[in-house]
Amino acid sequence: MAIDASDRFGAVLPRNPAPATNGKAGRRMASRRSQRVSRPRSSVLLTVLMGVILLYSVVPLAWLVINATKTQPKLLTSFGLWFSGDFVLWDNIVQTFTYEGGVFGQWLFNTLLYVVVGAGGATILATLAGYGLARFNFPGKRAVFAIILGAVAIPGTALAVPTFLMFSALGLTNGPWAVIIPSLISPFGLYLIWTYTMESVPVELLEAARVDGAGEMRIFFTIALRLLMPGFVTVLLFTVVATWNNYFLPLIMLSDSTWFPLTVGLNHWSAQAVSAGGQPIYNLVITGSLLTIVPIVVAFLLMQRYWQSGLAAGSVKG
Amino acid sequence: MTATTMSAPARTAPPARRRKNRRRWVGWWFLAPFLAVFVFALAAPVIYAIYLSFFQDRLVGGNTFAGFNNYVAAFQDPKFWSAFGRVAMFFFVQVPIMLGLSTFAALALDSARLRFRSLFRITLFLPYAVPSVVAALMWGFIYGTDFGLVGNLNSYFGLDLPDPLSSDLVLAAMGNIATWAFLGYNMLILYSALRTVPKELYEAADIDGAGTFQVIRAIKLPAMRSAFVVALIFSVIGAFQLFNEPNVLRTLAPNTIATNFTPNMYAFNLSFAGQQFNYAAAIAIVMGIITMIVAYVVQVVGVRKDDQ
Amino acid sequence: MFVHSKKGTRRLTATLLGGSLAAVLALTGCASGGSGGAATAPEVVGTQADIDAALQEDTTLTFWAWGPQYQAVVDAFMAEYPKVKVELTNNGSNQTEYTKLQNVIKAGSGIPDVAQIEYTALPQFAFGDSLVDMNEYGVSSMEDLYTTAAWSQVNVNGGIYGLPQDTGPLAMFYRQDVFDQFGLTVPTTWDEYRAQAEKLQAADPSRFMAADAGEAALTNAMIWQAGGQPYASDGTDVTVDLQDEGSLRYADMWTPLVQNGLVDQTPSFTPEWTSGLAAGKYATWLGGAWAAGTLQRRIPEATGTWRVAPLPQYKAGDTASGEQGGSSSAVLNASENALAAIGFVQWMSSSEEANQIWVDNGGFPSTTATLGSENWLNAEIPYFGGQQINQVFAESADGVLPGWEFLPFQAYADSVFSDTVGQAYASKGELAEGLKAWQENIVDYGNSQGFTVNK
Repeated sequence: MAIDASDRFGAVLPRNPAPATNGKAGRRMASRRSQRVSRPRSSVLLTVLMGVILLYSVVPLAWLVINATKTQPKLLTSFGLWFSGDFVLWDNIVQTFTYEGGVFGQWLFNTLLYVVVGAGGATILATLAGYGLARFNFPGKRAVFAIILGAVAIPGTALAVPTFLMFSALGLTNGPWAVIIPSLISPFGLYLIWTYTMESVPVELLEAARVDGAGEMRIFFTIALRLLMPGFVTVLLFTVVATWNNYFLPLIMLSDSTWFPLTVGLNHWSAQAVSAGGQPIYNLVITGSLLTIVPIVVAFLLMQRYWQSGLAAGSVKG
Repeated sequence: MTATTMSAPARTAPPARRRKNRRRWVGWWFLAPFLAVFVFALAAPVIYAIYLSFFQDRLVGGNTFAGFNNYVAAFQDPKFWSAFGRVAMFFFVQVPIMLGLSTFAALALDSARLRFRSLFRITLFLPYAVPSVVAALMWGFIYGTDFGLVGNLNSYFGLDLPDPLSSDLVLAAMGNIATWAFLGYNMLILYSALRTVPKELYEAADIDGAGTFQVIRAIKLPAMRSAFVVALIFSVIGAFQLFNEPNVLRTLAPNTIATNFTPNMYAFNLSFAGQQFNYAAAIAIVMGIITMIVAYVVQVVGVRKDDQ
Repeated sequence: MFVHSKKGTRRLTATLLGGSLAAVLALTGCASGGSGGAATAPEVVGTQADIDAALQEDTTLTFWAWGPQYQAVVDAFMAEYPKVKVELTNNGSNQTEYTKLQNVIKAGSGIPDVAQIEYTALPQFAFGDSLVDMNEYGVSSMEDLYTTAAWSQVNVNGGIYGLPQDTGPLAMFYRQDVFDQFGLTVPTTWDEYRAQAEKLQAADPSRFMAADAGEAALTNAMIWQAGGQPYASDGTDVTVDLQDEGSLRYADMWTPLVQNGLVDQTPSFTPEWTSGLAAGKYATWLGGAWAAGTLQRRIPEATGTWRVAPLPQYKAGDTASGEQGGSSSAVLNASENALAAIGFVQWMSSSEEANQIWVDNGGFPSTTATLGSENWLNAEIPYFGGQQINQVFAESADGVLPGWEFLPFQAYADSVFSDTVGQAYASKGELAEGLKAWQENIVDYGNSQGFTVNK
């Protein structure tokens, strides 16, 4: 059983439990589908149990929203899960955007830049590579695949110093590239695309296109990419979240606060409270945290439609 | 090349062969952009870290070649192994709870008997969008026994909830944050695997008169297994690399979260507080290798069950 | 271009003033970033005239700090010296700044010209040969401007590696309202302190005499006040004795407070702690003089409730004190604008204007001029009910015991405090045992780093 990692990962692919789908029985059942759909007997118990999990997910977020409406003294003295004192959400937002000469807006812009270039680039690179690995055989493929997936296991925090020293020698620190370049790599994204390709880009279709004389790049962009769209959007979603949440590497790489992403900036504000000479601005940290989450939630909700159609496409194909 | 010495049949179809040969290398072109960045931003630092791990740079006496000394020291370092024990425990307790909840939630989402499905799907995933720094900050406020939510609950309802950041509970408190953040994420991975099950299969089961739990056991769980193994592998990595939660909570509970609370924190503090970059690199590499082995074992076990 | 001419000037000056080949050699070693022997007698590399001249040339200085008042200081400086542009980077906290400094020094690029460095960390960076020994620029003539305690803290093995900004002589801050409510009297000895602590606890178990979860900085300061001198170093020979008389005197005094739960183990500067201070949960706060500013910024709503008293003593009638916190401004060795950088640091540390900004922000001055000014001494601070708190601090500053030193790897030592002494707090055990564990940890580390510790 000397099988390398790519085979191992291949074996854990979501496979379609196909055996029962063919034959007359399947067709006969399809005709009865309407009957099945017409009995949505909803379970109260199930809904309640899920409601508990939903509360668990939502309470901390509710805490964040509620406390973003409080003044700093009220924040520290009132009940956490209800409003108290003046409703100063708008004041807090204005203060967040004007504190230290409006640096928060700069951080927001930086984060957007890192997300667009970093997450966008990471998704494109992962899609190209995942597709290449899934649909081509070439020398060294297995080794490369194993190395890429194995690299996930190396703790990122431990690589911070070597990465910093390397980037520093190249003069890349303290600028946007120091954040963007490392975030261009998404082994998980590559793996996901590889999975999607195996599932939803039939070899026969590619062969047919090749017989028609289409070049590989053209095949990729006109045929494969369209089929991979749901996977592409999914990977984009994950890389956007990863880039948006990126904290540790930017912290090490950047010393100039004008290049900070939101996460580092917020922690920077939060650290003010921990130093003796500092002014605690808990209310701004909390409001800033809320503002940090809002765009990503909106992005997720917008992408949710694609995500959903992606899932639907996957199941139709199955 | 053997192809040039081949006999008649090979020569009869030269265009096809040439194209096939070309295609052998086309794969590399798709891989090249990714690999270029990978080599620069990930492989090179790893190699550099391995290089560093064979040296010792002391504040007095400078940089000297140390051979395997750092590795020998790591294997004999009780601080490293206690950190390792902690994340292993975290893995064995937190991961089953989280994946159990995720599996339940995924099955519930897939069930026609759940109301408000899209609400649940979106809301449960939301915590994943919260940056872990913000999450730890937020939970730090919530865990406060005087003025945080825990304190509020105690004083409003006359409860006597223990301090979540006391030494007995602090690991559980972190497990809670991780569970909160990743429950919905794992749920979506498992749910998307469920969605690939063809409807006809359920209909067949329906005709055979299978009950809900029989359907779950015979169809849904097997359909989820491979996605489950993926989620498990990422949970192994997440647990073994635990860093953000303890590091942020440490300001609130310095005495219960030691500098070597997790292997990753230990490596971090070695390099930043103690300037022991070389030893930290060795620790990180040992940890990386252990993580890879465990992930591999998880996979082998998962696959073996798959074959049955 | 400018850089080269600057170095040329330095070399020329050195030759003229030092007049010896040795000086030139030492200088070239320095200029190339090599490890010069900083511990030897100071060579004169630049004079005050050079420094003054450099401040009149177009220069850009990079400056790393985390204190909130630095932007105002920098603005005032640039108004006075319009040719010098100072780019301030606020690193947020001391730990972040040190981490980043270590990184850029190791990388050899991106190093700032000037950095705010606390006295605790100064020996470490001085030892790593990262800082300019300002003795080589004749700053020793400034000695008289500062208090003895402040000057001694920037002096590392005979070199002057920074100029003092503020200091932190210890005092006891207390809540007058809480003292009144529970009939407590202001303690003058530690025995009395404990008695009041017991009285408070007995009257209201939800209140504590102080919050202390164990912190390296406060513990060091308290050992200092108790007469301990646990750290000493001479080059690479280091002595650590956290079982010396003073250390044990402190440990024996404080252990019962911890063991009997008279102090609350909430870490300082957390939201919980801030709320506790605001709510009167803690009757006292033992801290450096800077705490006056911290209180005013953090809990402005508590105006009028706080007062300041001298630190309780081990023996009635004593006036012993120690220091907690305080920082200096240092010039990095890698700076290509060392002259202008030193000029900036001199101005920041000693000019009346800069000192006023510090004082206005609640910093405790290190210059004798400010300390001696009637205006400052007699200021009645409304937040403290009109009390002339600066007199208490000045008295404390006079009582600071001489001879204290920090380790050349204090940052590491402090980082493992919670792993050792912190465990004694958490288990409510003997602090002396915790100090012993801490010492063992420090000794191991020092020896593994090539120092000769306790040998």
